[in-house]
Amino acid sequence: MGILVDEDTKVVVQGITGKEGTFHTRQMLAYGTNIVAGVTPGKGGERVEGIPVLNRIKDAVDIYGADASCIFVPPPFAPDAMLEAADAGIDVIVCITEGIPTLDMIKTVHFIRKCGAVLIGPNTPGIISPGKTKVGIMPGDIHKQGGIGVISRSGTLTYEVVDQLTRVGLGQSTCIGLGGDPIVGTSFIDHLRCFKEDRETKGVVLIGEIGGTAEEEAAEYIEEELNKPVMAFIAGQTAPPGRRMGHAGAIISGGKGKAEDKINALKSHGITVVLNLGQLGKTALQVFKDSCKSH
Amino acid sequence: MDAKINFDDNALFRQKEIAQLHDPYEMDELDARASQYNLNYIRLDGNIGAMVNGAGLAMATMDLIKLAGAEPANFLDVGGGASEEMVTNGLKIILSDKRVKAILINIFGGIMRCDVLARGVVKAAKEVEIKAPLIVRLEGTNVEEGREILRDSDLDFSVAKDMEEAARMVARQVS
Repeated sequence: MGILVDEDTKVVVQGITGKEGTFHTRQMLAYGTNIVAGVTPGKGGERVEGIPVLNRIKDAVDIYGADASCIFVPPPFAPDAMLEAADAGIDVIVCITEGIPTLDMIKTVHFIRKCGAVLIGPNTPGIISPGKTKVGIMPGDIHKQGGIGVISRSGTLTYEVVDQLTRVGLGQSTCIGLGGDPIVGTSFIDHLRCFKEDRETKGVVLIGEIGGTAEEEAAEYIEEELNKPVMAFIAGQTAPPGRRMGHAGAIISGGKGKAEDKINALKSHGITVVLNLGQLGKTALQVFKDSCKSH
Repeated sequence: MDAKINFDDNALFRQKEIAQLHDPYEMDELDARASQYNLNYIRLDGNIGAMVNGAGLAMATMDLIKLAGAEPANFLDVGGGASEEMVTNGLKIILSDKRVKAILINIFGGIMRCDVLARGVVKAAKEVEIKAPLIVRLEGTNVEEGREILRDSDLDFSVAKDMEEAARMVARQVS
């Protein structure tokens, strides 16, 4: 169990011959990810870490049965890589690339949804179901298999949260980075729906930040639909308005997207919000005490 | 009538004419220097210099500094996969901010290795004198190696065991 990816997931790495692609292919293989092929147009026939390199992603699907892809392609070409993956019938597309033009993503996301594929990212650390597989760039060893689902808009902040969860003995079912861009493939709600149905997941930690209204929408869904405890942290309480805080999507514009508004919305829907990140692990133990007893 | 238009930085690679209109002299001096080095730096009003890897963690670190009763002097994200050179440049930018009374380095090594961070810090300290107290919190990939490099250097710094302690220690320096 867990959601979207597990030990049976067959991964194709797009941009496998690049520096990042090769490095993380090695890291994913070390974690136990089943990487069946890599794709770099024009480099078909080569091998990276023993993995066959193909020219087209269609071949990775037809010959090697790939059903998930992990993209390490530079921004100008990443949209095409996503489109090709969706068109070839890949189910879960994880796009690590940061810096893709927003306008390109609007068209790309629309097409991918039409194909029925799930896009994680772009500008994401990826997705990991601890103990089973990781499709992304997060450090595997801070994770531990267990009952907490993690959904986040951030990268290293997620590592910090996961590390604290693991240290207090709370393992994770699946951890997903939504991506730090304004236009990403999935929202908190998409994954909350999956976590609701997942028997391994006993509770969810939601990590948000300034910008947009994804946290407010999630808060409403959680109160109305979710039958599992949820805890949240929102980064950017001290962020000045009108400035992009590293992530393209992390900006308070026209008075909207403030951390305070998100925290209030979550609280008003009965969700525990941790204000002091240093206390997250301890608070999680209390919030998930009853639901994670068997672990 | 007044109107403002924002261009998408990520699309500037194919909008050469618009990119040419960029005027670095209209930016804050430190902001402009940081952008030359590909660093995400935003100058703020406080006196605690902060260097963090990753945008979300950098924001969360600012929040913790404030919770501990102090004010961050800047937002500085050296990136999830920063190089030694970026760390050196980042620290030098913090050091050239005259308001900074204490510095907090908070790194959760994932893709970025703690030994790379440590080497970058030591190199910056050789080029520019660090007068303000330095608090370091390292965790993640190659953390032992990173701590060793810092310990073996002539650098004067304190180690925090976690984020909360780091913020408290740095806030104490300016209270």
